Amino acid sequence: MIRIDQTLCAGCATCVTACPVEAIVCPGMAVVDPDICTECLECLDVCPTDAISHWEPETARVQPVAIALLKETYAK
Amino acid sequence: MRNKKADILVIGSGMGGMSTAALLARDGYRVFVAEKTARIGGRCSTLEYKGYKCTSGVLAVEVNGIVQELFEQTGATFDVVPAGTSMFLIDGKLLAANRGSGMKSLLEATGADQGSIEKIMSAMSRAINWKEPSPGITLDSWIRQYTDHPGIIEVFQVLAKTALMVKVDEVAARYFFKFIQTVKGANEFGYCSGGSAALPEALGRVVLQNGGEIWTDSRVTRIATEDGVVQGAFLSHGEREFYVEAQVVVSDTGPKKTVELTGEQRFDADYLQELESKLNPTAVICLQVGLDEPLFEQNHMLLTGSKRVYALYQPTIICPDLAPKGKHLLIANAIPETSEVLTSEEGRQREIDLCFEDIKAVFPGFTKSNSVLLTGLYRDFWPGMHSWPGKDMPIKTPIINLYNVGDGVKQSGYSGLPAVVKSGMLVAGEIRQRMAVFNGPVGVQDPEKSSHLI
Repeated sequence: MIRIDQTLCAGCATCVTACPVEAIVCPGMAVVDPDICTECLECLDVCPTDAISHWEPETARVQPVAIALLKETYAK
Repeated sequence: MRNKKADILVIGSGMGGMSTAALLARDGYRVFVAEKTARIGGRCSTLEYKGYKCTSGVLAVEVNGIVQELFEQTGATFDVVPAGTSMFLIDGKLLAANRGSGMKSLLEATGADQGSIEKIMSAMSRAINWKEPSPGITLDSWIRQYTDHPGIIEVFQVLAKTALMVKVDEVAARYFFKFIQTVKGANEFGYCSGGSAALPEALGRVVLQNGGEIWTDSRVTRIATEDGVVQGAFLSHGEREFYVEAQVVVSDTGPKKTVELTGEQRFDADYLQELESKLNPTAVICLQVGLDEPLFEQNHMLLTGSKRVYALYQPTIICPDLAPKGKHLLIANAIPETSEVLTSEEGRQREIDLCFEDIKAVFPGFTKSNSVLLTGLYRDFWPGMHSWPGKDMPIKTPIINLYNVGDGVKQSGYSGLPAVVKSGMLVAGEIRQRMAVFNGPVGVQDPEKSSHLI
């Protein structure tokens, strides 16, 4: 999964032009559509501010669980 | 870990780094350029998108100035098509600022009374030719000593934004006039016919032809120092780690990043304080739009009286290769209210909307539709410029043989690409002088003799 760090992204739109499948839009800040993204990592190679990172599948799988746990905690 | 050896290691392949690299490679030094991204040029590159050759930052390139001088010195090809006289849209009238009488005709177009115009013209002439304004006074306050006419202030506004990427109330009057003095008549500009990447690529060719190396996808992870002297840098390229040993390291990453890469603890406190108090990146918005028909006949116009957009460029009028056949590329440059407003979602959206409103105000037929290619924001670590005009860091760092180049270390009177190139030339000159102690390029010298350049 491709993740864009909002605190690092300047919004320069360079990644938009690098993406071969047009999975990224940048209306002031880059956003990736995970349904289109093929994780080719081209965007990582061009990002000038190191805002883009790649989540390994294991990490990505853990996230929904973590979020569910957090929600549970806050619900109490 | 693998080892590489070079005389000069350049970190970052922006125009500052490439200027130094090309000049020194031509002198016979072994130059190694490390670029972390997949393409060279940084904010002077071409982003190919939907058949258009958009820019990663630089569009208007100064001609007959220092940039061209660098290309002549290095023997690199300078392929820039001149855009002609600067065109200003003032109060609905489009007029050319001819050299000599330009400023006066612009001010007259504002409809201001002759008295105000004469007052400001004579004050300007004094500021440029006799005595610079006192330090501390902004350009805005300086103008208001002579006139409050909003049209006149607007003319200065567009000049300040175009030349220095800041607003009249943000720049010192002294600095503005220093810039006017420096550029003299050489503020003509043009476009690279195949995209701005042609400039760093031409310099890159010089580096390679002279035995230098340019590595892309090569991230410097640490600049190595010993006893206050730079030694080289560690870089990662793919899965591999390298150590590049170098006599001199030139950083084109911005002064803050240079400190980060070297380690704050290696710098003197006064330098870090100066960095903290001075360095503040400028923000710029760059909208790139594909058009079926050009919006206007000219290749550019500088706007007065708009909310955000100060310049519209249609480079395809004279450089058709920048767009698919029959199409046109419109590029709008704007200065946001502040850099901070761009940190919120809401602020970003409002600023971009205001830019489109500005274009529509001048060209009611313009629609956002699906022709918007890129809305690029430039700020913080990817800024308009790394420092405000007049708030630059020196090219030398406290670490011996570690230099900065780029728009965070501009010389007074220079701005944008010319400033970047100037910094690169200055650093190359400094290095030459220091190396001359050892009779020229270290690479061809006795390594024993040249191992320590102090």
